[in-house]
Amino acid sequence: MTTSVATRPEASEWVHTACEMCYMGCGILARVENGVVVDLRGDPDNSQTKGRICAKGKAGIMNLYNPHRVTTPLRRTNPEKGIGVDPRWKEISWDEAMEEIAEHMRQIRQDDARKLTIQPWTPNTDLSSWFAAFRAAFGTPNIHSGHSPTCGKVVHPVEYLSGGGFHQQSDFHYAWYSIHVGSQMGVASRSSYVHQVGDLAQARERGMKLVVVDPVGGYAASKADEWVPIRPGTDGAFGLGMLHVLLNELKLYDAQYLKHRTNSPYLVGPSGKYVRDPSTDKPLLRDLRDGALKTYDDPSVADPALEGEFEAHGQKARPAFELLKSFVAQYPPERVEEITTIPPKTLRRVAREFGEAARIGSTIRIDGVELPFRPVCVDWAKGPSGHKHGWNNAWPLKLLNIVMGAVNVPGGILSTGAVGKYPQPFAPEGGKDGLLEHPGASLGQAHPSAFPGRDPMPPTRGDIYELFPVAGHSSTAIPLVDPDPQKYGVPYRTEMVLHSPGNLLLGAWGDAKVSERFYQDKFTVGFAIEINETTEMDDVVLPFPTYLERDNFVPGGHQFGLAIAGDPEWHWAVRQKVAEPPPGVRSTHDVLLDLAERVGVLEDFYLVLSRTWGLREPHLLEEGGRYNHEDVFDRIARSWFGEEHGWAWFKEHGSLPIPRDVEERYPGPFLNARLPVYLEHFLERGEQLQEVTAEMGIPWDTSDYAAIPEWKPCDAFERMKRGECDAIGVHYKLPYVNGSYGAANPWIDELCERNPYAYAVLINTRLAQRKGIGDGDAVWLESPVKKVKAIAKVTQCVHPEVVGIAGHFGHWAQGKPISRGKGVNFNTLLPHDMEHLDMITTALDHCVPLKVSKA
Amino acid sequence: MAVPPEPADTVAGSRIAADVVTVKVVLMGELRRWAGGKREVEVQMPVGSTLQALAGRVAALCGPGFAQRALTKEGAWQPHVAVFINGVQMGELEGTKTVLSGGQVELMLLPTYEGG
Repeated sequence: MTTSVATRPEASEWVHTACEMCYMGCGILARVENGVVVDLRGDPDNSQTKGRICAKGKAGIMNLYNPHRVTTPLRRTNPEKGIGVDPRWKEISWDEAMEEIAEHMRQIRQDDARKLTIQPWTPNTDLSSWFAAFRAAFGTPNIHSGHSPTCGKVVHPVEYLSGGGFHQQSDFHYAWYSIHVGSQMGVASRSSYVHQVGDLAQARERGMKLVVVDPVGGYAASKADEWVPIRPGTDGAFGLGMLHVLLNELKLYDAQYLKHRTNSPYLVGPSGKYVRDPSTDKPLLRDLRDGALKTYDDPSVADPALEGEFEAHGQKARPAFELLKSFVAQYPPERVEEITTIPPKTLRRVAREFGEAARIGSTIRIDGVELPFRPVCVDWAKGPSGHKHGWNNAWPLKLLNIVMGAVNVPGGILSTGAVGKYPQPFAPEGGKDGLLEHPGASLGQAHPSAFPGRDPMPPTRGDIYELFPVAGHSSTAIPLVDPDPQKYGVPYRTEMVLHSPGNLLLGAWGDAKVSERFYQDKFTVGFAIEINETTEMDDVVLPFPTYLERDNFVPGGHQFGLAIAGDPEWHWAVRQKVAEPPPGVRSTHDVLLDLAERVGVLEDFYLVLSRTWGLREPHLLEEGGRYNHEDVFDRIARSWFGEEHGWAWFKEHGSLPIPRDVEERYPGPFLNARLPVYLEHFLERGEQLQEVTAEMGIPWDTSDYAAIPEWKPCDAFERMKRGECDAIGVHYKLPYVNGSYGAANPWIDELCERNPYAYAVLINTRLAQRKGIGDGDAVWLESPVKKVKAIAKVTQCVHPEVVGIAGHFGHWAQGKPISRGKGVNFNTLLPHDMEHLDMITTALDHCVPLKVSKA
Repeated sequence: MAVPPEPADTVAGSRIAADVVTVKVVLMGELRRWAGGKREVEVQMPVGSTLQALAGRVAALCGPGFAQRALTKEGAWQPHVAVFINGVQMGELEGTKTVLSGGQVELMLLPTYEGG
């Protein structure tokens, strides 16, 4: 295979910057002629992108020259707000806009600062942090970073307590067997995208087997050695079945790892909680070498028992691993088939292949250091997460990596952003009960903590985060609380929203009527590149520079939380503007500084920025100083990388490569903490939550707070069983579309038009035959909240019970003429209420029951 | 949780004795609301006190509402409270065992890392 590395023309004609057609921020080169950007290529000097650029990135020029973009502040003159209602925009001056916004904020701050909700935009990590700093200075707890209703909801808290980083990533450098469950990593999406695409291709070329378990035979399946169709929302049962085969039938697991690096040997009593040493309160285990009960950290522990039943301080106790084995024995492949439709023979074979490929006990030498070598990984993402019982559905898949000892070691599943050196050295650490408690960096911010989690308490936040003690965030609860916050004990209501250009109405939540209701009766201010569905609800719109007109110190996720894991090199690169924005468009960073001054919070804004960005003397933002964004970026750069690497250096050179040592690449063996196979703290958190919500007088389901989660069905699963719907709708990604702004680009639209699968919905041949639907026919899809017309693509590349809906289409906003009316918007088909939220993580159930008929 | 009684020796802006360290605590975000609107409090701590001990003293000054929201039942800082000591995050030092050497301690409640 040849790699298409861009050749480097004359340096003076090309400018280093970073893409923003998804949230990675890949390093690119922009060719500028007479102030006009004429080409975009991958930056060969950037160790993340290695000269590659994807289709989305290539199409970025068209976003810059979008004739429909917003170039001046706008004021709504139509007091009526709603979907499809013309705002009747009036152009206003910046001063007029800023004063109106500032006056609203000053009044709210005087009354109750919590009445402001801020919604930054995840693709732009840098600005997200600035909005967060503004939020802290202003004094509101209410922030929602514009992510989707599944985005990170399950995977982040899972990673915090099982990997120490932010997200997970298969180690394609060394893996021999990789299972993607509801994931298209390295094919259509996710961290360090263009880097991973190359890594996966090279892994497949050297013989790595890729198995894709997914309801849709999409892009990932097309690259796989084997596609295993699965009924939506049943991934947890697949995981539990795999665990049963490995632990009980094949007895294939990394016993030494489990004994010494997990809580598998911790003794559990009849209550389901650890048996603890009376004097130290530490969990106990049984040492088979001398038969003694010892605390987990006793230096004389030699051979902790993983199985059996023992007497411990007057109670019968079993090791957590014994409980896990017994539990998963309830999921033999025959039962798993009834739930998932995966044949038992397939499940047993995949489990055997996975277990044998793990090479338990083997080692590999990297950089002169001998490390455990476990070249198997199970990756999962939105697919398993987006369900009513999302945590339960995904956790068994993580357990598959843990029981093979394949976490943060060569070939296994790696945790992104777990270990690093900038802005200061960070690494995960153990804590309570010897378990992983302090995950890696979160860029100067506090950490959500999934272990031991947070004490539940009556909420004061609009997202009632206090009632989700192990969740990373709880933004899907925002529009549900808003109509009647008093019901949840929240003593105020959001009156103002400040948001950046994410299309929250279409992307952040489900049923559009729920989102509409949230925006309708508030004073909303939006930064916007184009008038999208959310902007149409705004009162004031401020133009937002496109990424080619903008400076960012952090250009995207790939450098920090979503950095490529396992690579020998890390790097820092920035985004610099390569074209001047239109005269009416200002730097958003500078707008925030201006707003902070008008509202009277500038000094505190400086203080939070200084602290969270790790500014050091003499680069702190001084009280009374006046800075623009480049001043701030220069101070950050020098504080982090030294006086010789200021903002100007990064603009000239593009990328600062920083070698990683083996501990950063594969931190697993160096971590002084155990991982959980048994979530004992869930029991206590569930009990505390019961107490708090009972006192509040609100019904609250805590049944999912179990130490070993069982598989539970979604609403769609049950409706299919009862014959109340024809299919389960699921979403899948396209590699050339990201977020709701993707399709409004004419080049991306052209790709979608030419691809027969993009704007159409996938309907299995059997379902189509039953309904008399032919390829290309118009069909009705009716969910519990919406009925839409779509074009059918009849195919066998989708599970027989599934309708596959791609991308982020179905736009209606006047400012998106290229994408208006094309494709289907998946999110707005989703019922959005408490009954459809995962009560551990607030992930919204993404399998939607559909009635399908020919239109 | 039980809140220790407010100490009688808190005097803003002055050192009382050579074995006492003056700590200025700056509260950000909704921590201020829980502290009755205060942006700053000043605390006198014995030399050699840790950040953990400071938590209890601040809670005593700011009241039970603050204590309930900002501290765990065990009296430690809630994980979603970011603590900076003289500009350096607690996690970069010795965590709650960090010994205070005076100067400014800023407590900031910051949004947890979101997105994905």
